[in-house]
Amino acid sequence: MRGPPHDGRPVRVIEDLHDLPRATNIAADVCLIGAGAAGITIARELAQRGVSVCLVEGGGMQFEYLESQSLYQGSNAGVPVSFEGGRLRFFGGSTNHWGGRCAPLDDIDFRRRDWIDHSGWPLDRAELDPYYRRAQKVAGFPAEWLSDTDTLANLNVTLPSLDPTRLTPWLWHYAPAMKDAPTWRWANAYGPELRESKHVRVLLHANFAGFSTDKNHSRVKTVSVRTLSGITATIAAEDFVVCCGGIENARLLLLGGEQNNGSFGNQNDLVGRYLMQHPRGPAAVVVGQMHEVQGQFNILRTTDGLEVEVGMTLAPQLQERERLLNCSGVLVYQGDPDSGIAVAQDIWRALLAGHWAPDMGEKVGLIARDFPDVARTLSRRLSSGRSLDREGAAVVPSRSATLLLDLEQAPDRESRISLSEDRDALGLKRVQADWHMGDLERRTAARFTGLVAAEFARLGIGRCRLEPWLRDDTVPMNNAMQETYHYIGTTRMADDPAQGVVDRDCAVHGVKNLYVAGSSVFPTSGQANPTLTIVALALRLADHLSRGRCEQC
Amino acid sequence: MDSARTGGTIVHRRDFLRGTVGSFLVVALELPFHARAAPSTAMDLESWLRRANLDFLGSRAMLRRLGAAYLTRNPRERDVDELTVLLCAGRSKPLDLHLHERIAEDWLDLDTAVADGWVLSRTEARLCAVLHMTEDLSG
Repeated sequence: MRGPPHDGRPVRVIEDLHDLPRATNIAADVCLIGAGAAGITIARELAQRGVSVCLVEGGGMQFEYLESQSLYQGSNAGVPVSFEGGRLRFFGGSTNHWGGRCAPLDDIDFRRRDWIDHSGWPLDRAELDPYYRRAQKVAGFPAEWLSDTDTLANLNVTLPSLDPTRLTPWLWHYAPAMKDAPTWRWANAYGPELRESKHVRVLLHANFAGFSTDKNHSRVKTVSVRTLSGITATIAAEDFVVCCGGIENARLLLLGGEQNNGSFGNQNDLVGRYLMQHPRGPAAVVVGQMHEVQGQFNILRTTDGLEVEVGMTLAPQLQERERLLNCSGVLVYQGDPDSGIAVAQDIWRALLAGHWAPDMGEKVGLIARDFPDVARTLSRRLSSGRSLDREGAAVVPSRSATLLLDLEQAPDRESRISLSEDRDALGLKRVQADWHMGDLERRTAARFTGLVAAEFARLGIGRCRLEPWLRDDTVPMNNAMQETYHYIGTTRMADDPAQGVVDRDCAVHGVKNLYVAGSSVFPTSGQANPTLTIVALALRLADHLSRGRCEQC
Repeated sequence: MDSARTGGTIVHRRDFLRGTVGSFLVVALELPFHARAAPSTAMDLESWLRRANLDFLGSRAMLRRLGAAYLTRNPRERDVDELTVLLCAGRSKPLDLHLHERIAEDWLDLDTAVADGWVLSRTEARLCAVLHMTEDLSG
């Protein structure tokens, strides 16, 4: 099928289900459920190749609590998951509060690691590399990233000589700000393109209501959507992609199974299981000569004006040797309130507010004392156009810093999403999460922090004091390590249906034309934020869905 | 006791006491026999530890506290003689240099100890323990 998705009426390509007649039938080549990073990326790719797409989104164009966001409520049985705070249910999805932090997964993250049960992807990093490069562009980067070495050279940073068999530098690339947003937003960036596309029809306030399948439940025929006020539509397509995020993807498959009296990808009771996140939190306070390290391990600005955060990660050979998970850490600086830069900021803010700062004499003395630092910072600000008052603690000379960890989790079958007996306003079962953190996570964090402490002491950088949870195994890990809203693993990828919900093409095992996009398909999480990998896999899935539909694909 | 055997190495206390760090360790590690001499000489140990990158800890009380915390986790080392042997094992250089090298090796070997949350090299932790015990002995 070519051309726009149709129901026989002229359409505006972004429209609200409230504005359509009741029981509208729509046909498209591909129906995408969920307009977040994955859904919008796939829609663009398919539309550019002339494939007709219907993209259904449960929310509207803006945040609406009662009409949409409240449908995300759920309950917890384990470490709390913030169902409503961690996700956004409107066009653009959770990219609307995305921090822009990008990094690919590491080689080792894809490998089968015999010390981690259920590890191993059916594809390797090399297979994803071309998609990672394309994903950078989708995530707003104006040019392909330089190598880490070249990036550090661009930043004019020489890192201390960490033992590479223990710790290796790790670079986070921050997506650029937009004119109307602090970082890249899929809705802002790609909404206009979808609005103009004749091949994409976006339906807002189109909440998933159910799948209909053939009699064997091996093929989806239609998906039905409805507003809270009861207006319904049915979308028929050749292929369907669930791209609603790591919690909802599992929920929709579980609901689909209940509605169709079939297993719906859950023949091996895997849907919703192996829920992982990237626990993030403080591991240690670092005290010492932070001035130099502050120019090395920090969020730094390239000559192109993009931000790169330099951190550390556990060397892969050490992960292997000591049978650990992946882990990374960055330094977050508190800033010395008596430094010349902090004092200059105080004075500047007071002037902006129309008055003199108190104790001006003393403050001027502190600025004079630290004049070289103040002059350097001012010069940098002037050249970047950023106001001095907008600088945070990262640039204020510090005498201490917090080592903040991002941890990989081991896949744990009992850490899971399931359906609860509570129902939402559409009458569908809500979710219950039972999220766990395990001993291997704690052991990995302890080892990583111990290595940072030893390396920093060896190099004369500073000394580390462990947070209570790393001194005492009886202190619960989740006292310090919090969720990151990265919901991973609930529809995991594996070639063997006994081991995974989707195959290497993200197709649901046992349902011919149903696919899943998003971090729910990651069999393991790595330690890197998932968005870049979500987009890379979405691009790969778009290529797969295009084959046979488009002459040039 | 003139000497102690550790790991096949004979450590002669008199030789150890001739170390070049200065009087602090000499007296500090002699304290089982000269307990009353502790306050001023133990301060020298503190000075050395401070110079050896522990200056950020701020006070002798803090160093002693780290020593006490280390001994709580390692009660079998609660003996100055024993610690002397451990600290001097394999010494073939002036004491100051020997201890610096031991600390550097500890970091390379990841031979560390956690005391009150601080990650210390094993040697640093033992020196803090000496400081703690010698001041205890001084009453």
